[in-house]
Amino acid sequence: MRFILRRLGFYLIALLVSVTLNFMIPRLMSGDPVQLMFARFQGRMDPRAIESLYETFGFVQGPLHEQYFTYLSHLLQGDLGVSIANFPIPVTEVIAVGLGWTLRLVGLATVIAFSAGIFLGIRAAWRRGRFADSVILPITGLLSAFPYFWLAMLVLYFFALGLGWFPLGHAYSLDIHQDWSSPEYLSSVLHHMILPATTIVLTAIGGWMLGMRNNMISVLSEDYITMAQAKGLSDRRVMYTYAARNAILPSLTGFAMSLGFVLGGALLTEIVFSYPGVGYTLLTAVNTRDYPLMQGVFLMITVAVLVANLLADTMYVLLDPRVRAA
Amino acid sequence: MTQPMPTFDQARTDAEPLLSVRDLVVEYHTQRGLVRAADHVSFDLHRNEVFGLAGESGCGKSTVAHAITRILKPPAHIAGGQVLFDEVDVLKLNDDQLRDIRWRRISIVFQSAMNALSPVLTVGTQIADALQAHENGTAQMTRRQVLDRARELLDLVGIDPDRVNSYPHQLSGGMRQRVVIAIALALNPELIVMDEPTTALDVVVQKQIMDQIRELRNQFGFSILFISHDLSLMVEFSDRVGIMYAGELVEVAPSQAIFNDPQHPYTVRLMNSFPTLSGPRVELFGIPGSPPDLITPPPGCRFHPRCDVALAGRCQTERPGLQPIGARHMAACHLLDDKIVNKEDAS
Ligand SMILES: Nc1ncnc2c1ncn2[C@@H]1O[C@H](COP(=O)(O)OP(=O)(O)OP(=O)(O)O)[C@@H](O)[C@H]1O
Ligand SMILES: [Mg+2]
Repeated sequence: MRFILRRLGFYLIALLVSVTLNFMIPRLMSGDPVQLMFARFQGRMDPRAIESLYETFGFVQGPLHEQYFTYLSHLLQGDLGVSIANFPIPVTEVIAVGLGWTLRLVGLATVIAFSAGIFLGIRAAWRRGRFADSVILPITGLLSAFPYFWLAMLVLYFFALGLGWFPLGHAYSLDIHQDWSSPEYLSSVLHHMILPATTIVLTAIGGWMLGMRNNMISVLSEDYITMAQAKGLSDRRVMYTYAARNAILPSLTGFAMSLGFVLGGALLTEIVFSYPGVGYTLLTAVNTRDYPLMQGVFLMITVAVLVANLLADTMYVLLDPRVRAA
Repeated sequence: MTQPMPTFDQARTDAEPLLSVRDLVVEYHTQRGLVRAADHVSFDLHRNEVFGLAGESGCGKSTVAHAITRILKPPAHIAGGQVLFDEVDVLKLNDDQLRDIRWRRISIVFQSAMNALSPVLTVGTQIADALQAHENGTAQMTRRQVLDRARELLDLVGIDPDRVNSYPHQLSGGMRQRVVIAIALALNPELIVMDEPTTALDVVVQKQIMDQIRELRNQFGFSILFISHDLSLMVEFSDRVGIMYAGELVEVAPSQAIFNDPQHPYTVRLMNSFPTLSGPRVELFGIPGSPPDLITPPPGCRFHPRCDVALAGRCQTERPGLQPIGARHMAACHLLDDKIVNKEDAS
């Protein structure tokens, strides 16, 4: 517990630093950043937007620390300002929509890739040189070595454009009413998810599998495995409780970290499949020079990565008694 | 449970040995070539007996122990021989039969007991696992009974029963070793293979643990195949001792005979190279040279290049076999030819 609290303290400090950087960057630009932005939009910007921009960045009258506290209090209230491109929708709302799609697509795909990779890695190590090890492992390795963009385009080309089995993009069919309780809508969402999710799973599974397999192999040579076998335990018990339980520890940290990056969206996937997640939102924000939205997304990614790190630490503590005492 | 310690003669007249190793050959397939780490090793171990295997590091002691318990892993390969345990060849058992005798009848204490416990499971879980894996053989045990038995076992080896919830890293080396012994005792096996059970520990703890093992043996009467390269410990603790050199058994005798009257030149050198715990201070001699490479062992007697009494000719070309040279005493050396006795006379 002490360990977790200490880590928590550390992450809070890291968070404060990144928030402060977020506050400082516009002020390090020469001139009034809002005016600059306004100039770039050459008057196409709503005057009301300018007003809200000033507020978002804490450009209130007064000394710097007062501005800083105004900015912090806005943040604490969850106010990240208003999106310029989607005026007057607040940044938080724009992000929330993207986040929902990202969590469903990338989150699900990451969990599937991790579980399948770990399971296959265990099998491959347990029966070395057999099917999982000599056939599946090289295939998943090859898939993860493919340039992702190329693979995604290929899949899109064949299965969506060529065969027409799947839609070309977006998260659901636009002519269906958005209603989570309607099976029609749900199936449309699933249908749109399959291709992008498959590409993520295919390219990610190899890394998890190889990592788990190698950890397993080194754990399998430990004396406690031989002893577990000599005790007459079933293969299942030895494989999962004694071997995998020890071998999975390094992969779990990687997994928790990757969950943090999930929230950042899978940029390439969302671009290729025009999937309206966080990554796609960020791309639009960059294209439209929507600074409040960009800053909001960056802040959210920072928080997500920090939370994921904390999660990784917590998991490690739960699973590895040696860390608990530290 | 408690039975009187058998005397030597009882152990000897025991008609069938508990464990009978016959011409065991174990090879390791390495990139450099075939390593024959056990070459036609034969010995018997009787009920209630402690049989010791001694020899320099790398002579194949662990290899023999692991072959008997069938826990050898590739690149090891059992190339021949028999391991008769209660008249059944362990080497021929299928997986289910093997699982059935494992731990219930033969258990093992590993050479590096420090690593014999999984770091992420409590001591209690690792004891309970052994009990539950075999519960179909005994009575069905409830979770409660299993835990009670785990506590009882810890108590038996001198550890606070409340340690069931401890993780291995929370225990000292000596305590871990005791836990491993407790696990080995869990199902009251007939034979416990102990591969250097105290090598990694300091002398004081080593003595405590050996005393503990002796006490437990008096209480439960299991047999021990005891492996060590510490000859003084070996002689003190074992009823009979087998000396291994370069994968071969070169001398087998009651430990007193090994101590007072070693016959094989290697055993003689080995005895001289160890200080005794008690007894007069004597000058210690090392053995010149080093053990041979097991991929290309010397022809003839494997010890001849290091032997100061080797005969030119015969020792270099002809391999000596293990021959009876006295009552219950066997050695493999050409120089002892005149002492060889008729097998009938010996037994
Ligand atoms: N996995 C392996 N691969 C190749 N050779 C091996 C392997 N394990 C053991 N050997 C060889 O087999 C021989 C016997 O090894 P073993 O471990 O049985 O010796 P030991 O008598 O137990 O030694 P120690 O006293 O050091 O424990 C050694 O020469 C060693 O080099
Ligand atoms: Mg050894």
